Formats: sequence, structure tokens, C-alpha cells
Amino acid sequence: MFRFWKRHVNGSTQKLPKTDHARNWPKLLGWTAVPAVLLIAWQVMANAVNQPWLFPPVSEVFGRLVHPLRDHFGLGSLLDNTLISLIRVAIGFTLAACAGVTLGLLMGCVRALRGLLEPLVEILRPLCPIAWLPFAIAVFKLKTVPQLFGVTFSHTILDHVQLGMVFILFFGAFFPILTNTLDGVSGVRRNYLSLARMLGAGRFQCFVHVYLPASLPMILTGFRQGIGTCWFVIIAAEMLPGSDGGIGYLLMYAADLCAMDVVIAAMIIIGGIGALLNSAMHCAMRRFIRWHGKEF
Amino acid sequence: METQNADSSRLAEDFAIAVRGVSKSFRSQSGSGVYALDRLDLTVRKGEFVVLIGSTGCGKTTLLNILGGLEGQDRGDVRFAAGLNREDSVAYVFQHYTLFPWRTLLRNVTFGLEMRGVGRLQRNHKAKKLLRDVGLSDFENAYPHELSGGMRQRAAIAQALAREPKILLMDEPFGALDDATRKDLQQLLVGLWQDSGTTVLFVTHSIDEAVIMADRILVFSERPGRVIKDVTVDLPRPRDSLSSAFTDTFVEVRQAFYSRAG
Ligand SMILES: Nc1ncnc2c1ncn2[C@@H]1O[C@H](COP(=O)(O)OP(=O)(O)OP(=O)(O)O)[C@@H](O)[C@H]1O
Ligand SMILES: [Mg+2]
Repeated sequence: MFRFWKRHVNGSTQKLPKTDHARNWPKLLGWTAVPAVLLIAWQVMANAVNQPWLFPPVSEVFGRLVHPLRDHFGLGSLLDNTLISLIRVAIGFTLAACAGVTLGLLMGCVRALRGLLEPLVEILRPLCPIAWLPFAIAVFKLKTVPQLFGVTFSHTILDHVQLGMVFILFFGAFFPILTNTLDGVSGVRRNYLSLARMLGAGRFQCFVHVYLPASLPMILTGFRQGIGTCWFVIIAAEMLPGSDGGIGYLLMYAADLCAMDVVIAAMIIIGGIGALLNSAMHCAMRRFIRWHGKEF
Repeated sequence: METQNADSSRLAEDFAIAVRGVSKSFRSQSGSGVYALDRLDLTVRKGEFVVLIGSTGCGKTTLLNILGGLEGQDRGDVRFAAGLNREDSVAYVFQHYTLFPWRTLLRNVTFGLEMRGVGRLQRNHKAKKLLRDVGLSDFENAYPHELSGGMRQRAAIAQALAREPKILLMDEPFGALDDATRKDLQQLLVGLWQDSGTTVLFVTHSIDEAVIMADRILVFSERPGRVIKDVTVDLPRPRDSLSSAFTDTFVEVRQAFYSRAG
């Protein structure tokens, strides 16, 4: 619907001089030298301590990371478990995004709805999503998504997606998305609504062609916060009882077995994916909303 | 008072807009009322280019907002010629926020047609022609923030004309532009107006701009706004701002402008 990417301004398309990399040396070193020094220090210290079950050397941890398909403790590989966590997040986040944006737009446009629901939102929002976990497990037991559709075992990754997990992930992403969308809609300038009205837009058309695009920057900010929260929440939830897989579960299981190399490998993966999700949202924002902050 | 009577007596059959006894007041935050318009009468004939001139805060934008249906009047009557209605016949170029920042120029110009349900091919075709008319064909895929102020105003004119309005309201559209750009756009607008036969009601602060473009100039009083002088400009176009006839009209308007009753 929004063809932000199909653009090309004729005329002055000369290349601008590139950023001077030589001047950017702190950043360059930050990406190379600093981690290298850290890794070397780690390796040296680990060798000195010589208790790999407590403090494994870098080489052992990387040995785990370069074989992401190797099975650990019969729980599946690092990759398998990472995918389980990611699919849970994907499902919970998608549901939250649909619900959060729709309700945010509606509450932003319909005063009465906002009045009715805002107190409820303000009460539920500060509640840590993890606090929902016991309740979610009690209500949904260990029911999985395929079972919701009457399939006991689908023999796909979806067998690991419990409704309880989806439920708490939903709460992790829903409120950041809802409140950001709401702020976005409240911040839409009346001038744009007047302009749309003068050009013949009706109420519903204003909704689609003004409220939605005008609040898109805030919606994407909500997405970014929401997906970050989801990633935090799923790792914590997987470390708690009631879980049967996922990178957080593998981490906890390995810790119980004093397999610190697997623990640290899992930590690196968790951190890396968190950073990746965040920067992906950042790129989407920059790419789709070139006009953001450039109103006139 | 005299000029107002003169104006209302001229309620001819060929009017496009007739404003009769329109008053509008705003309640300020402190609770005191401000009269923006007080028993305003004015008539714009079909196909006429009328320029409304008055100092800041005298209610010009308020009048256009009422005509555009964005605000209601407290009292009085606004009529459009038979066959014209607000939804389809009136376009309004605002003083600020004239384009959607999230749409390319092409999609800004097609907005009004899209709302009407015109198909994509047809509306793009028409918008491209309009962008060519205003000299922006190279920038149809640019976003408003990538353009200069003058280019944005050109685009805003194209956007307003896309729906083929019978009445075009413009609120200081060239207010923030440099002199040369302003002259260009004045010529462009007069050209487009002559081709289309649209009725134009144009607001400005600049007497020069008024005399260059108008068929008729209405000078507003200080707030609350009323028409205190109605000057018909009979000069042939294109107008030479150095000719003595031009200067005479300029002086006449200027005298009215600076002698407004407070
Ligand atoms: N929404 C509003 N709330 C309160 N007062 C208003 C509002 N809009 C306009 N006014 C008042 O009405 C008067 C006329 O305003 P208007 O915007 O019509 O002036 P204007 O002639 O367009 O001025 P300018 O040339 O500076 O644009 C102003 O004095 C202003 O204080
Ligand atoms: Mg104004």
C-alpha cells in the first residue's frame, strides 16, 4: 500500500562523498579490536583458571557455535532451539501487532472508546508479562497451537508453541504497540485531516489515508519496543517450569548440567538475535519512513 | 458601510459565492470573545479572480475555512451558485501544511481523485499532466521534504486542480516565497485560471500581488473583518507592474489599506 521504496528523484542523483572511514576509527576499533582484546583476555584467564565447567575457554564456546546443528542432551541443537524461540515470538508478536495497531487506531479516533478502555490499559500495562505465566499455564495447561485446531501432533515446530507462551508474548508486545500507536494517532496534525477532507476524503478514508500513514513512525517504534520485550520475555519464560524447549530452556538445562560452554554459546546467540531484531526494525523504519521528522 | 451596500446590491445571477451577514467569534482561553468576522457581505462572480487583502488577524483564513466547510459561522448565510456544492466544487489551498509528507508528489496530486474512486491509470495520467503544467514533471516521485518551498506550492496548486474545482480558495499560497519565485507562480496561476475558467478567491498581504492578479480586490478592515473597499482592476493581462495605470490602482488600494478604520 505504501510504496515508499519505489522512489527515484530525477535530476540531481550525483553520488555524495562517502563518510570518511579514517575519521571513524573509534567505531571501527569498537567493532574489531575491543572484542578481540576481550576474547583474548577471556581465553588467557580461562586457561589460567582451568575449570571449564565453571569458566570455559573461548575455543570451547566457539566449538559449540560453529556446530549449530549438533544435538545437546537430547534436546535438539542450538539452531533447533533458537528457531523454537523465534517462532513463538513471531506468533505472539504478530497477534499483538494486529490487535495493538487496530485498537490503537480505533482508540485514537473514537473518543468514547479511548475513555472506556484507557483506565484498563493503564492498569494492565505496568504488569510484567512474566507475571501472567502461572495464570496462563493454569488456563491453557500445556496446550499447543496445533491442538487448538484439533491436531494432537503436527510433527512440526509448532508442537513447541504453547498457547500460554503465545499469551504472555502477546502481552509483552501488545502494550508498547498499543500505546505508541495511540500516541501516533493523537499526534496527527489536524491540518492533514482538513486537507484530506477538502480533497473529498470521508471518515473511513481519513482513517486509512491519514491516521494510518501519519502514525506509521510511531507504530514502527511500538513494533521495535514490542519485539524487544518479546525476546526478553520468551527467554525468561523458557527458563521457568512449564517449558519444553527453546534457547532459554536449553540454556537453563545446560546450566543444571554444568555445561557452561553451551550456556555461554546460548547467551551469545540470545544477545545476537536481540541486536539483530532491533536493527532490523531500525532499518525498516529508516527505509519506509524517509519523511519522518521532515514535516514542514 | 457604503461599499458593503454597493456590494450586496450587486447580487447578480452570475454569482459563484455569496456571503451575507456572516459573523464568527472565537472564545479565547481566557474566556473573552474575539470577533473574527462581523456581518460580512461579499460576492464573487463566476469565473472571477478576486483577491482579498487585509492585515494579519483580520479573519481572512476564518472566512476561507467557513467557505471550505471546515468551520461553521455563528450567523449569516453562505451560498454557492446553483449546481455547485462544497464536496465536489470547492478546492482550498491552505496557508500551511499543503501536502501530505508521506506521499510522493504524484500521489499527493492524485489524492483527491483517489478519494473519488477514479482508477489508478486515469488518475496518474491526469496528475502527470498537471505536474507538467506546473513544471514539476521531473519530481513526481519526490517527497515534499525534498522540494523547495516554491516547488511545494506548485504541487499544492496541482493537487487542488486535480479535482477540477469550480471554486478555488487560496490562503496566502505564496506568502513564504522569494520575489522571483512569487512572480513566476503568480503568472502560472493566472495562466491556469485563464485556461480553466475557475472562480478564484485568493488571500494575500501583498498589494502588489493583488494588483498583478486580480479582477477585483476586496480590502478588509482590521478585525473583525469587513470589506471596506472594492476595487475593480481593469488592466489588460499580462500586467506590467511599471505602467502608470498599474501604479494608480496600486495607490488606490494602498490608500484604502492604510486608512482602514480601526
Ligand atoms: N481556532 C481559533 N481559536 C481562537 N481564536 C481564533 C481561532 N482562529 C482564529 N482566531 C482568531 O480570529 C482572528 C482571525 O484569524 P484568522 O486566522 O482568520 O486571521 P487571518 O486574517 O488569516 O490572519 P493572517 O493573515 O495572519 O493569516 C485572529 O485574531 C485569531 O485570534
Ligand atoms: Mg491566515
